[in-house]
Amino acid sequence: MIEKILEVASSVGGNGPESGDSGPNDLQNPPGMDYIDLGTYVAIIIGIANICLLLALLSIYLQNYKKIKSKFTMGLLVFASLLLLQNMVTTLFLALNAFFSISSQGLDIGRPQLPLSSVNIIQLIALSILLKITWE
Amino acid sequence: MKKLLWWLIAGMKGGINRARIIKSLYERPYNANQLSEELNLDYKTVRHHIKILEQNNVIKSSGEKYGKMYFLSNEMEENYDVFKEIWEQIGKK
Repeated sequence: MIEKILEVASSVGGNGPESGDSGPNDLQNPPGMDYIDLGTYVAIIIGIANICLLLALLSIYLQNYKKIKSKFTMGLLVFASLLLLQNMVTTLFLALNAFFSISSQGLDIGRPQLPLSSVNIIQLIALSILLKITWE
Repeated sequence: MKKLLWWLIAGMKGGINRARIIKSLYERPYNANQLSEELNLDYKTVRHHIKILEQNNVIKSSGEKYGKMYFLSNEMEENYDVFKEIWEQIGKK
């Protein structure tokens, strides 16, 4: 009899906090939250891919700049560096936001990431083409 | 042609060797094997550069397969000053 009461009590105790948590959670995570998170992760992964492509481009541009010091090679170097900086800052912010839940109040990155990742995908395609023709 | 040369030499991987090939071919025609010996480059590397340069109409070839001789295209000859300009930048500190 006592065992049964304990069982019931523990099951109530186990369920209590969970059901209590799910209430506010449901409010914070309205339907579609998973989709938003997925968008952020896709944006981060593509951001990292962009960074890798830019590092490859940058290494070629740096080699060329070392041998040929000119406006042209300097321009390519600056171009790739700035794009790299942009991708690093964007991806870093997204990652901080996603993994450490750093408050993104006042920043746009708390919103659905579909626009950002679509821009990133376009950049990925563009950079792949540039790297391909640069590598030839 | 000016932009193209800059891109082929300064904007792509292995551009310096491409410039060395152009410089050699300006002096006299070579085949791929001679070029690789002259420039101390891998034969496959030379073939690759030659392919790119030919596709971009910088060099032309005549002859059959292995003995194929390469020389600068008319367009390249006309724009050789542009190349000299780029060449002078190479190795300058």
